[in-house]
Amino acid sequence: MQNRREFLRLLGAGTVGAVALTTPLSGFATHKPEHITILHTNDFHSHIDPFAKDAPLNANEGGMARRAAFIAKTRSESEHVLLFDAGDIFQGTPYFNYFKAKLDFELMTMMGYDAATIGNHEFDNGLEGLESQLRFAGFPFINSNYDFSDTILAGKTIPYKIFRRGGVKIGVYGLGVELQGLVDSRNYGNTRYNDPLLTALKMEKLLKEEHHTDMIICLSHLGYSYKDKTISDKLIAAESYHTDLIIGGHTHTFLKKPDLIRNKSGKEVIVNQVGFGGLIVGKIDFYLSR
Amino acid sequence: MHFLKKIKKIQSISRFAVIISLLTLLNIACRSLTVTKVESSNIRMDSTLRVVPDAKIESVIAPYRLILMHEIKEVLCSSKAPLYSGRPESPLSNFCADLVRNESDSVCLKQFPSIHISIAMVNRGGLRVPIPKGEVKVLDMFELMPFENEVVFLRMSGTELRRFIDHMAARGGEGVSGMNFGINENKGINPVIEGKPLDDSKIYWLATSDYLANGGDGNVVLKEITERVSSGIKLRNMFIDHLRKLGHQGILIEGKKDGRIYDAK
Repeated sequence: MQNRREFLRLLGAGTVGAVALTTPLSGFATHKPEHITILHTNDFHSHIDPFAKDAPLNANEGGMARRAAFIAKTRSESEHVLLFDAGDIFQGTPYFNYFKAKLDFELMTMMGYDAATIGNHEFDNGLEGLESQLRFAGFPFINSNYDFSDTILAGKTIPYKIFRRGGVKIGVYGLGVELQGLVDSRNYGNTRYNDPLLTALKMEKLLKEEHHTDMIICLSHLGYSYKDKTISDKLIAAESYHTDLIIGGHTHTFLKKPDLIRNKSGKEVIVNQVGFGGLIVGKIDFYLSR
Repeated sequence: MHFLKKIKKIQSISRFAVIISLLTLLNIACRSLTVTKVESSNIRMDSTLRVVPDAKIESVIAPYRLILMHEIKEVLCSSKAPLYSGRPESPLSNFCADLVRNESDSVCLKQFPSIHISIAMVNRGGLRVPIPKGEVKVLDMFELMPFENEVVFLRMSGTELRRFIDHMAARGGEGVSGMNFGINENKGINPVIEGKPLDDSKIYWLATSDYLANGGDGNVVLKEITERVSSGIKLRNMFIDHLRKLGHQGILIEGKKDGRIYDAK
């Protein structure tokens, strides 16, 4: 059934091709490039309001209402926008202590977030503390290396998602940090942590070879880079083959501009992270051609 | 009849040809896209953005903000000077560890009379911001300790405590109370507990957070300790109650370094 549907879909695309035949074939060569805008945040930590007027650092900066206005402005300038968060939405201001993630998730839904990944602080109130809040989020949580099958989160997150924007197929997978030693073991219960690099290689191969995506994005809460061999965004970038962009979090790294790392197939992978607290939004414009 | 068959054959051949040409086109149309250009910028969400904050978002936040403002603006007490964190000891970590030891010992006196809290430990990493100078509000306590940790009491042998002190020494010092020690080559030197040299054969009760007792922040030694009493009190609430008491008594918060952890090289 799946094959037949796929065949019909292909024929459908063929008909479009046949229509195109009436216009000069050179039309393909000069086809306008596809433009995809990626916006991203990480380690937002419940900073609903701007930093206080008298804060020693970042006074008056950030805030959800300002971010929403910036996102709306970007959407008015760019037709195809994808908006992601790389985890640690929870914890950091009393908004979280009093209202859990309800307000964060509702505002993110209003802003049109397309997906988020799970950070270690998402476990701060235990698995129940995450599960009970998911109903407020109108966007999926993508994680590929936590196995929740023996927990109440089973089936409530997804390992990857494919987005279609314009003529572009964008595959997104997610990586979470090792929880043992970082999070109270009672708070993650029977969650199993799988190796992030092996997971990344499996995911990008699946997205590239079976789903034929044009672009692959990794939402990571591993951290930008470490002095030791701890797995990080920079290591994933260097060891991967097909991932185009790693949107990072966890280490609260303020990158002036995204980092470029050469991967195993000799291509440059973009690695970005934008500090914390909603102080910065990363904006990456991709132009794709055939 | 024969003629019709021929037509059908021609039709099917032409249909086949159409499909072939469609597939060729399809091949061109489906040739994968490749990224040809990337532009990027990390944009600060500050006043230079020149955007008007989204009114709809503001209106959703407003009622929540009202509730919070009411709850968290309460002034608990005042402090003489800001209390900063640092290592091997610091005004902030000393103040916080002393608070946990004293309050925990009072709790035990009432609820668990057989337990005397000799020592306390808070990890530097868990104290997220300094305590400001002047008015200290409930909000400041949320920012200092955003986590929902509970105070627990652990029964340790002197030998276990010695290993725990070595662990803290290797980390360059933590927030401690009721103990003194030097640091040399990642080891704790001359540990003194409540004024007396650490006795390997004695039993000591430590007050700390459940997060650390469960092995958080790399605390493998604490994780192995099996005898534990839960206070049922959130660490943050212990702080809020203590500071409110100080405020009522007109006592100012004062943090100081007293050499409880020192360089013994």
